[in-house]
Amino acid sequence: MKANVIVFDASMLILGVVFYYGMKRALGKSRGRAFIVGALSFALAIETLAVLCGVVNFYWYSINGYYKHYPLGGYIVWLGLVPLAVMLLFYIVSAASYVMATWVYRKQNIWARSAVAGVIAFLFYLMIEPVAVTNHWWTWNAKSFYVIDIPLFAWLGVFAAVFLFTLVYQMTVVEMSEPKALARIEKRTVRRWPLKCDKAIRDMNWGRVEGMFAFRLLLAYVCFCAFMAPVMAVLWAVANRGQIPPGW
Amino acid sequence: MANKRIELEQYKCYVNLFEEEPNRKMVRSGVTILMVGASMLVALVLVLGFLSTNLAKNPGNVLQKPPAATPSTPTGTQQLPSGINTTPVPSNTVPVPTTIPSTSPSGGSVPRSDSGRPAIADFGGLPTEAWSGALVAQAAPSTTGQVPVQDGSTPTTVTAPATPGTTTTTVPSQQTSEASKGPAQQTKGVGNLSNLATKLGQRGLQLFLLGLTLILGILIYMTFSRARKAGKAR
Repeated sequence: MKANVIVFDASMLILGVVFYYGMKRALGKSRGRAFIVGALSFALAIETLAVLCGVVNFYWYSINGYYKHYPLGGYIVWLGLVPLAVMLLFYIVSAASYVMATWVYRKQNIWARSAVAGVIAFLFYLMIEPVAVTNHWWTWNAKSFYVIDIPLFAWLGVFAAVFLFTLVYQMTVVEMSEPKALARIEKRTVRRWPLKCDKAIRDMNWGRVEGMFAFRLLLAYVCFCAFMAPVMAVLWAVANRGQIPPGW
Repeated sequence: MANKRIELEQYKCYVNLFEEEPNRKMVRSGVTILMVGASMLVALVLVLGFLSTNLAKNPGNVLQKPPAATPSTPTGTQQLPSGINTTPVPSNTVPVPTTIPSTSPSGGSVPRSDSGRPAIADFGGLPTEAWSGALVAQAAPSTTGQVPVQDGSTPTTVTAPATPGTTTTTVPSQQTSEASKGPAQQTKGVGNLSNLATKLGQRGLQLFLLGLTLILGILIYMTFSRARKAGKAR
């Protein structure tokens, strides 16, 4: 039996609403909104890059007649090259991981909590990925080392993405801390323009805090790409599965 | 006055996080909602995983293309893109059913080609490599041609339908043979998941999913119980 893409799409939309409501209650309205906007943007940036590089494929559901074959058979909402459901899944998993890490390891520092959140997200994806690949919700297509038909870099990528996202979120929105190395970069860039503000994050208004959050997410994205590029190169070298030739 | 106005304008987009900080009871209910949502996600994936175990046993399933859309054919004379008119089938003609060889993955055994890898034709019920005009191409008369190959490989004659605007091309035999092999044979290492699915008495994937459900369930319960304790504490 096959679980159609519409099952995944509808489930993610429903669970996305449930999680947004829960996050709003658990963190507050503004922080909850910052979490969902940040998670969706971060996931969109990562997934779009992955699709453009041919690492992961969602095109089958838009151009290969799959959409026409089943009534409402493909993904319904797309943001560019990536279905909204995939980004919602990242939001759901990162929200659940963040809350679980925060409550289970309350007394740890934010680095340890973010690492735990990354491990929990990895466990979630360890469960989701085989089902997704089997049911063709998405297809991995990269020369790499594969474990249960999932490239190893995907597991590392999930850990790194959730770790970086929750770290930036806690650092900027929750604890409003300013590490020295980061403060030096921010002073030369985002604080000059567009924020035009030398105040500490704690003293900023909410709009500027959101601006700082967006800037730090951008830095996290650069760090993510810098981390993943050599990992993918190494796994490409020791690959146990090749790439599907284009046009098959 | 001007300062007061600026202050008020700044206040408009100012969110006092301390005022907005939800009370303990609300935080507890929020965490409960989140954990219920996480449990629902885990349960959903577990059920879908159990339902798709049969698919996972098929090594070629991962690279299988989705079936092409079935074109809706209206009755009567149909104008084809190439300009060929087809005549409607007489009503007294009994249509001969076309049998499509299909292998269901439910049995767990996948027919394999000579090389030991699963054949592309065996991956699904429907022909996956068919293009939209394949039936028209079969019906139309064909022309053949041969073009010299530049890369030194053996030239292969490719038959193409004699329709206006169609060009006859020849591709190297290596390419055609690769194309006929299908993606599962062109790429190596496909079918890791099927190894897991067929292990432990065909229940490898189910046990794997159950184990992960157990771990995540413990973590969800720990979070829930700590939130409950924190809600009760004064």
